[in-house]
Amino acid sequence: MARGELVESFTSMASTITMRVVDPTDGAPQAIAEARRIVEDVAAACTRFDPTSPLMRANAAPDAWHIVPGVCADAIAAAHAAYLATDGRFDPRVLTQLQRDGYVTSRDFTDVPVVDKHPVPAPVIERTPWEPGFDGRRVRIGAEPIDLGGIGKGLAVRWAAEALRDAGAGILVDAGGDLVTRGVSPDDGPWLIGVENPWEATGDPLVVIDATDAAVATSSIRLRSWQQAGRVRHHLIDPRTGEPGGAGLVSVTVIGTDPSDAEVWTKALFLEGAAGIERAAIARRMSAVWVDAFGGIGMTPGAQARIVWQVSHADH
Amino acid sequence: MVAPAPRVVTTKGTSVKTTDRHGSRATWRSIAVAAPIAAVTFLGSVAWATSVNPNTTSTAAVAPAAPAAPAQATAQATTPAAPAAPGTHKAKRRAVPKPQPVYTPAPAPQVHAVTGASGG
Repeated sequence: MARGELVESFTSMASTITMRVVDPTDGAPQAIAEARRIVEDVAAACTRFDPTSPLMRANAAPDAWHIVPGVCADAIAAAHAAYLATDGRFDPRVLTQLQRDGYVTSRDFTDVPVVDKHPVPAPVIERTPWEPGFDGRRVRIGAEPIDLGGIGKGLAVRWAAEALRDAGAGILVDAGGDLVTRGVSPDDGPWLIGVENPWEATGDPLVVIDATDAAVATSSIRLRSWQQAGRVRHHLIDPRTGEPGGAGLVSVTVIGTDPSDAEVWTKALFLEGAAGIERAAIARRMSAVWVDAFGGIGMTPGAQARIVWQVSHADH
Repeated sequence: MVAPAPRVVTTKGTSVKTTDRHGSRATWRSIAVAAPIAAVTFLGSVAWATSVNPNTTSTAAVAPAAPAAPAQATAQATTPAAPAAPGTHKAKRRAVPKPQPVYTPAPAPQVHAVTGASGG
């Protein structure tokens, strides 16, 4: 039996943000308004595409101390925690490389992934450790500017879901690649989430997972891969080499409990490439699904336990 | 692709027919020969089944199992084989097209959201 729900949808962070509250309480409209305000605050404070944003003003002189909005300071602190937790695989200092490769405005480059099926390994470069400074809302970014795009969206979803915690019997906060669900779905069953087919995004998903009380995030090169001087580029930079990473992979989806953590680990696992992702994901007991450059689908046992449907090879 | 498991096809009287993992068939007419062959084939199938690493999931291993229910799995119509010349037993077996299972994959369920590439 379908339940009643409130739905709010708007555009922010270059994505359609959708919030659904099942069996809404009297306070649900106010909670949704608060959740939306949080998302828009994070977007305004942490965007790198507005030179007047608090992040970009701090990036302009990264070694100096700056007073920034609380969400920006919290996002930088969360990014540093993720940097440490992933042994530097997640490193927001890749901004310089993204700009070097031509990703300077918020836009989609293509609708299907540009894939390098025979990538040449890039040499490892020297990097100094990232050591930002924090003092409440005063922050010092460090020697290099940073990009908070991905983790900012994951944090916005986390904080919006917290604002909606008591708004109803179930909630979904969906920011495209990053989403979280809590409680019951509108159908009284599990929350069912499709994993996009990178080559045919408007068609059937590759798999459908039961994501009840879970966070799901995907890193994909479908929209942000391109050619530059005859070389395939994309936005998932490996900080160890300064070059696009994740050889042989097109997308990685992580299912966890927190949307920001899931977002961080999609990137960190992506950089393991097709050859290393399975070992890395299983070693960290992650629930992950990945799609390789040849269309193969892989997943860990944790993810497989959540699968309720999978595309057949005839369709794929 | 994972090869099909070797298996015993039929046993009838003193005759045993086997199919190995490559699809090759053989008929063993003496029970003295057939019994050990059947046992080895059976043990081979067990060893094959347990050789699959349950912790490692490959593309093939995550593929949805073909629906085995009779309602969904219907034998494809096959063209009758041309009669083989007398005494050409092997030629006759090759002339019979192998029936292929035909099934309709279940449609994707309605989802509440899709995770994938998004703006940034």
